[in-house]
Amino acid sequence: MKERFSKIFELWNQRNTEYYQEVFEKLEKENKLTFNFAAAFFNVTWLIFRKMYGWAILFTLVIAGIQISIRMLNLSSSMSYGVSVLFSLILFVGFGFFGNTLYYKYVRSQVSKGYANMPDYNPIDPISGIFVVIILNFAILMLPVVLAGTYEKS
Amino acid sequence: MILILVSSFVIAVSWAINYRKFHSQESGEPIEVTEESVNQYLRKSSSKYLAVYFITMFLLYELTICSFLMLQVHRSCALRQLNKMSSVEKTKRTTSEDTSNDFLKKFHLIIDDEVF
Repeated sequence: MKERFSKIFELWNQRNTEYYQEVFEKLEKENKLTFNFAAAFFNVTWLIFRKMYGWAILFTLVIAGIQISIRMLNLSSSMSYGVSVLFSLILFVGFGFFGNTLYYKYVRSQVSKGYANMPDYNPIDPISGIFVVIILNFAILMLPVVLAGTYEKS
Repeated sequence: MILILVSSFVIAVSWAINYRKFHSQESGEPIEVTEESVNQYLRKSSSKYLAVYFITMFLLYELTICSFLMLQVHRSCALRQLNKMSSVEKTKRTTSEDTSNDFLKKFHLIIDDEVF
């Protein structure tokens, strides 16, 4: 069972590597954009997973800033919902189409610094991504408690 | 807001760990980037990490989606209940207002043989 699992993930990893090789080749030779579904769906978590920490912090703060400004505008609930959906769609499309370009530039900069030759370097970071998702999970799980508190106060 | 700050802090900490661990190993002069070196970089990702990541993420997202759905169900149930309660209250109020006048018209209050 364990061997089968490890084989599946080895194949998955290989497929992932092949995907990025193909995408980078297309970017380099044809200057063609390709859609990255992982980047589109998981945006900031994907950035952390691919070790693009600077971009991850920047986008977290940008997303937070936009959400706060939507709240501060005091729009009607349907309007603010619409704006949030529109913003999510923009993020989805933006990350989907430009995620690979961003990663390509990042990989090139890392390779030029000699990261490809480091023996113990791993180009993916799953642990921080998991931590961030746990924090977001905690927010969703704690929402009823927070809401109950504000209701009692009011 | 606090959670966003905490998640930014987590990202910054892992960035710092990564920087501290590998910055000393960086080459002083920039290395020429070739297709082979890019492929070499991509091939370095460990499948063990990938397995741990995908299984945990799957469980966490499942949990998030489930809790979100549960919240929505609770919210809609509570709203429905509140609407029902307010409509019952409204009908009670209107019927009591209607009947009270009619009810009073039919009755006469008699105190010490005087009819009111």
